[in-house]
Amino acid sequence: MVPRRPIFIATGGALGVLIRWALLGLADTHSTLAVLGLNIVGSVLVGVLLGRGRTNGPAWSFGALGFCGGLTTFSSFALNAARYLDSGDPSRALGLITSTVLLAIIAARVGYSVGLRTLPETTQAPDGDSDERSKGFGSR
Amino acid sequence: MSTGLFILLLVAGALGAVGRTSLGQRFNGLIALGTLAANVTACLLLGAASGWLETGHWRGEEIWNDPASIALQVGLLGSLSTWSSLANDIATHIRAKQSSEALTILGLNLILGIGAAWIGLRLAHAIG
Repeated sequence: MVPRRPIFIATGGALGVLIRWALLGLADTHSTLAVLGLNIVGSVLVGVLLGRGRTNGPAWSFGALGFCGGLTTFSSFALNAARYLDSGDPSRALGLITSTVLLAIIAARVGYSVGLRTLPETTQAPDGDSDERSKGFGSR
Repeated sequence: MSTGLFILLLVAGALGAVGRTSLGQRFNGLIALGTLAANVTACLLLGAASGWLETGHWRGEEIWNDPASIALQVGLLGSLSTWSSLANDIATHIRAKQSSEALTILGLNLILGIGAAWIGLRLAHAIG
């Protein structure tokens, strides 16, 4: 039998990349603001799935690992920061790094809260933070 | 978008995602070393590719019209690296009051990732 997980991941990743390219194409290929925006959106979406505790199965493989992984990118962000540093503009580099880090982590946190709130009552974890959700991406 | 670029982007995006998650599955522990490896590799190669293109080995105005170059930079390397897993991994450690793990993951990704992109740029400029 063909393993389904890689297929979900590959399909999600391809779709995420297409959307990123479509949006970047409107701006500029490594556009700082567009990349920042996409990284925030992807971080929120993964946070929602994480909050809902769906860290295995097709929704996680396709949505979080595939689609959001393909939609967000670290390499363009790092290249933009490296270019600012290389052109002797450390304050812009620092501004980009700080804003991306803060906004992406806040986005993940907000997404997680939204995910928790939208859980059906019957499956809501009592303390809102089951073992599955608190172990990070360790086994994923 | 041409059909060729469309197909190349789909394939490159799929390969990047599968590569990233395979590394994650193999090496992610308390500190997500697989995600770190994917991010740093993508940063080094993107810096090198981007720097190499600037040296004029592709004619400037054609750089962004070349499907292979777009598929490599935006598709494969963009999809290999990720912010969404990283941000949620850090947020999870913060929630669990594991601030040293959160800071370690963030620091390693930032320093090694941006450092790798810069080294890639410089190497390509030096060789090109």
